[in-house]
Amino acid sequence: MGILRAERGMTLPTRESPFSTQWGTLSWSQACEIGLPGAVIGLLGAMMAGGLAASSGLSLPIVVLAIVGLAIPLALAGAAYELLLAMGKAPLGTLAPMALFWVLAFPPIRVAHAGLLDLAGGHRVAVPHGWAAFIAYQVLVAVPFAIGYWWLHENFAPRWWFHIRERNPVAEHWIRDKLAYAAAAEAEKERRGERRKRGRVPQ
Amino acid sequence: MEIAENQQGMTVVEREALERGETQRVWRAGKLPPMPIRKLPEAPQAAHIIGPAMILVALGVGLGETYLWPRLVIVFGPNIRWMFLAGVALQTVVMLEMARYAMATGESIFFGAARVFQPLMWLFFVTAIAVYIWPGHLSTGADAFEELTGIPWQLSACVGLVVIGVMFTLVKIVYNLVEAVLTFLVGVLVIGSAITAAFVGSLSDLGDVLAGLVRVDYGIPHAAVTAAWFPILVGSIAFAGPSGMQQMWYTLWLRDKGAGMGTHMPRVHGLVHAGEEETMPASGSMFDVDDPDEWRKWQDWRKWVRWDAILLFFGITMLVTIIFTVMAMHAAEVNPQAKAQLLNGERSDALTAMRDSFASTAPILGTLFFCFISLVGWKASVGLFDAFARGQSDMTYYFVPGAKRFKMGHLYGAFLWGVIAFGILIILFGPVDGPGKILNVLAFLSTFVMGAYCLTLVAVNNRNLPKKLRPHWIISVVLTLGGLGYLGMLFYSMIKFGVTDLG
Repeated sequence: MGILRAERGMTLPTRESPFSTQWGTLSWSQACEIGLPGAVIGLLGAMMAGGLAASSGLSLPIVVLAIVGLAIPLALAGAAYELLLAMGKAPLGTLAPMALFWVLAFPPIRVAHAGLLDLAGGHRVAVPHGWAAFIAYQVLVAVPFAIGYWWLHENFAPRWWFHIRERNPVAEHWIRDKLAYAAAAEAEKERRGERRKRGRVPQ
Repeated sequence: MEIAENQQGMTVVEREALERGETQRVWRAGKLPPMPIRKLPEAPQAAHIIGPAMILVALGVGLGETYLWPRLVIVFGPNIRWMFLAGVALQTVVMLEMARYAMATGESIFFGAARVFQPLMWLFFVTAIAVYIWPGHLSTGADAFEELTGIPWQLSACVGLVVIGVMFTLVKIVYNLVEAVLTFLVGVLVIGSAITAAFVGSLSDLGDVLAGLVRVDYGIPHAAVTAAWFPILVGSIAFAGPSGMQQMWYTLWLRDKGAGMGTHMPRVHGLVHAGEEETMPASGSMFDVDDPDEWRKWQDWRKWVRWDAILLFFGITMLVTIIFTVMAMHAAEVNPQAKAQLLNGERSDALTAMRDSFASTAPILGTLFFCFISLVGWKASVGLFDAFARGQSDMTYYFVPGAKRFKMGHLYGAFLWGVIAFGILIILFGPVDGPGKILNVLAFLSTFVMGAYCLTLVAVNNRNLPKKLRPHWIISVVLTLGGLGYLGMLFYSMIKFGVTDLG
């Protein structure tokens, strides 16, 4: 699982091909495919909070709003991060840029979500301890959210890339990079096996 | 480094090499078969390839973090958490030292203990059976699941047990499945905790919790040094991070991950695929510590495991518990009756009291709390059943006469299904935490074994490893004090208060 930094794409986005990457220009459907793991992880986070509201006696419209109000922005932000990776704006595999991204993205999502729920409930938009403390707190909470996102992304997104690698140049490149690392490790293992068979090295 | 010629513990290829006149260098430690000198593999290039610490996180972040410590914070305030930090910091040192032995030799800590003094290993063998055959960890989660869904806990617990058994029987390489399942569950736990924290708590709660972590000057509050609370405090310190024998099993997961010299040991297969398993060698192996290239690889492995220990284990454990403590503080603020309920209640009452206190903040949080407890219970069971079967089969294979006729996978399967069958019988017909009369003894043993393994680890690493690989004396002192600390608190609790019920 190597760390790689993609360079900026050389071709300009067009109407049909909006996302240029070092490994090819992505169509809308390919961009959606690349964004899917991030979107799913974002959705998972939202479902955990919103989905449970359904079994907590809240009214149906509020439950739906709680889910949708968090799910859509988190999924969009997750997908956007994947596209940043594809376009070489952020390095693959490292935690710090991902944490920075969520520190910027998570607090506005939470502020909007809190405001939306207050308005839907017929209350005045307000948060305990004031807005400054609320936003600062959301910034801090964004870091563990980013760690959870990174954890799931690093461990499960490659399985999806493997699945779409034949029709998606970015996924193909990312998988090739990971396979190259695995192949190097395998080659080393085979060399060791050969040496053992020849009995040259008493391993 | 004492290197001698010896034909024991060699593979066929090595024996043939020896017959051709090539010498076999070995490292001797104790009276058990010496370890042949072999090549250390290269460490993973990317530090963030996850190691078995993730499994330890999955097991370690359990009831201690989500229930015991939040309860103590509600009762005594956030400053009591300095003891949690001390407990997890000690466990991080233990983890790094367990990894030192496992990566340098490919042997489990049980084998290492047997090299020092074989009865020590049998003590761990018997303790594991006494403590871990009871399906209590699953029943707590199943209880919470019943609260959520109305499905009788006996049904969900039995189904859960059978699912775990079938999973570990059908899979080819058991470790891969454990890692995949627990990786997902830990990710869900971290994201779920973060989202929950975003809804509950405030900057000032978080500030109080973080400050409380370093308030060593707070000491132990007088109210905690009572028959009612001191044993719980001891249990909570022991349950900070991985408790009981989890750290010892970590050495077996490292071996199956192929960390360090573990790469020379075959991996445990599920029962269905046990026939495909390679034969286990008679012992682990050692690398040439005087070879500069080998030493460089060893340093790389240490870096890899430090990442595993400090960032994944220490970081995620602290993260999840900080979030749960913030939740608990907020709940206590909103619902002062919760504190009174927690002061007097048993575990099941206390769990309900915590659920109610969360629910009074927002209905969703009471449900969410029980969801987490269910998740914690089930993921603990996945790891613990694998760990128990892994540890017992390892000790049986190497030290029970005649056991080498079987593959490790067969023994693993036998212990796995044995503990599952016993668990189902107990769930249906008996007390899940164990017979009432010995319940306290089991809790006592669980903490006792932690003191015992700290001291054992000092002996194993200082006697079984070449001088160059041994831990710094400060580390040995920390481990010794840690071991004596666990045992001292435990015996103080027993002698002063006559109580060993630690949770």
